[in-house]
Amino acid sequence: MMRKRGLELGRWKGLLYVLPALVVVAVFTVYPLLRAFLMSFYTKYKFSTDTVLSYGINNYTYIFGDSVFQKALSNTFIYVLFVVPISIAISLVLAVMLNEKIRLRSFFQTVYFLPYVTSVVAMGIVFGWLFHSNYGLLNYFLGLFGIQPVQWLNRPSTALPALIIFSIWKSLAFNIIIFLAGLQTIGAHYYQAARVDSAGRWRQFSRITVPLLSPIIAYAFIIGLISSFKVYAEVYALFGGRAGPADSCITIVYYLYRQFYVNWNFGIASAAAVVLFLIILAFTVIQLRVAKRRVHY
Amino acid sequence: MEVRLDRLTKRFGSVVAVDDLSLELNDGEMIGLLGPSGCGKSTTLFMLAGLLTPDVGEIWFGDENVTAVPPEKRGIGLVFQNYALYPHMTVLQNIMFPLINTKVPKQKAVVMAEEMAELVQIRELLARKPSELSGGQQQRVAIARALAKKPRLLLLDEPLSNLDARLRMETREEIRRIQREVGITSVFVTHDQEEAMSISDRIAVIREGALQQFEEPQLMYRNPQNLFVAKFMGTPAINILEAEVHGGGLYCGDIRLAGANKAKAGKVLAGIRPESFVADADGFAATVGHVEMLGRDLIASFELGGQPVKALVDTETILRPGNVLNFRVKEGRILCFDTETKELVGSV
Ligand SMILES: Nc1ncnc2c1ncn2[C@@H]1O[C@H](COP(=O)(O)OP(=O)(O)OP(=O)(O)O)[C@@H](O)[C@H]1O
Ligand SMILES: [Mg+2]
Repeated sequence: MMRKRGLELGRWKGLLYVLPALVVVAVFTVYPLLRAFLMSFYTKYKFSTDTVLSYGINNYTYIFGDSVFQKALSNTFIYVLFVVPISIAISLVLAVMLNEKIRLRSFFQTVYFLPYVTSVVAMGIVFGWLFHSNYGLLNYFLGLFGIQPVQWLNRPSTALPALIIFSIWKSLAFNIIIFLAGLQTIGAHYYQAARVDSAGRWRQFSRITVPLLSPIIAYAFIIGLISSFKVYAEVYALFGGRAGPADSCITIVYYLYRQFYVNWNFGIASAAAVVLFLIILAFTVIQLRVAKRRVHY
Repeated sequence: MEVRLDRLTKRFGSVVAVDDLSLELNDGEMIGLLGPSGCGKSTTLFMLAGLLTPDVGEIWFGDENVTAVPPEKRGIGLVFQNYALYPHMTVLQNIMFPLINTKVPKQKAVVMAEEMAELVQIRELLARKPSELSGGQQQRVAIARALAKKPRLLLLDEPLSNLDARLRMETREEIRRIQREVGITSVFVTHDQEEAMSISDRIAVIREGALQQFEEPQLMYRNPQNLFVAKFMGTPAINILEAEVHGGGLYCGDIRLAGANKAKAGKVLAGIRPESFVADADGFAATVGHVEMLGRDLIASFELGGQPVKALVDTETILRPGNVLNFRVKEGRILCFDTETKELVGSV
């Protein structure tokens, strides 16, 4: 009897301790989520008085019929498809190289960390210059190989590749940081054993490093997927606030932003947000499933 | 395959880890590399493996100079102190890894790996991951992996130090059996003298990177070349007494321990193993101070010429502190070391 009461009391006490955090989460996370979800079903809504005149699924039928949203969807998928794997592959190789006992190692590590602590806007400006059709460094190098200058940021066909290149470069820093941290945890004796077992550099990388780093690689994939599906700031920074030439680089979040703040179509924006949420949720679940089967040990 | 280490030296900064070390191993021989922690055993082993390059000296496998040959091409098997099994691979994949790397076809590699598993008796564990094995089982897998590619030389770095006492005894017999069966030249690193004596054909005792003595276990125990080796081999440790040769006898204080007609007069350090004392009514008298029970034997502590000594006594007698015993030392079993150089000068 007494013990049961004590337990009960303990439970309430515990709840009391986490209450402040719960309140914050409820106010800033759960409530907006629910609100956005509800809002996506408002078909007639008066912002000034916050009154809903009717509910329905019109917002969803609208966005799936909207060619701009379709463009945003396909752009976002292409973007994720290229940025996440390529960035992880490059970061992995760079991290392994940076982990070697090379001269100026900490200097190089700092160089690769810099993008992580630099503002996207500043990087966007720098890349704007790199991609510049007349003065850009990229075209200068292409010119050395006799390739005509490319109007990277002004032509719809090259704008998305430019955005992807920019984003890969930008996301390297974070991946390299976590891969380097992961590499530190792999004992040197595995590599000594692998050398004795006649494994060359490539087999050491593919059969020792990658499998032993697989939990971190899986983590990088999830984080990369989530942040890439939400791409917005990179577009804004690279194209000076536009969604690329002729909306060629519009993404889901950019679409959402425009519907919300520019067009004041709150219901449509919310519907887009819900769609994005479901996409990310689906991919994360799939990813976790795959990781559970593939990331062994 | 014969192996020759020719005047190897390895430095790490100002630390001389291995100092002018030369050894010659015969084909099929099991060598124990013995010494206290930090004396350079692992460094020596890693130089044999090719994971470290000597600063000075050469390593010869048969008539091939392998000093500059990388580990991938040396054809050696190495068992690490912590086994270093690949945690993400199954036992079978672990054993097959060196085979696949040397382009053995998969089918054949599986057969060879299974043979190895048979040899070290882990057939039923092939599908498991290392984390699902006990220490002793991991140890066997590590040996199987090291032997799988039919190396010319097997190197074992303190392979038993992670096992409990009983398993350690069993496993060292097992290692000996496997080594004999395969007939492979082997180097066994350990800091446990008992382990080294029980497993090795010959033991190399190392101190601060330098070779002290290279000898068969029995001979080394009998005739340690210097005080360090004498003290290092055997438990309980050898008794070291300050003694003096005069008037044709070896004296410790007033007690005459043995006749020493041919020895040069003067001070020496006398080394007497605890088991070299025998009961003798005509011997010197000793008052037992402390008694330690070891099961089969008793260790009696007493003073000899004012210096503390431990002697092995059989358990037939019930011995209590304060009892008086009479001892003599077996003939020829007193080792005399120079007081300055600590080298063996003879035995009486
Ligand atoms: N990579 C290294 N860098 C610097 N010093 C080292 C290195 N490896 C070994 N040493 C030093 O060299 C000496 C010999 O080391 P080694 O590992 O060979 O000893 P060991 O006999 O194997 O000892 P243990 O029984 O503790 O394993 C030690 O003084 C050690 O500190
Ligand atoms: Mg060692």
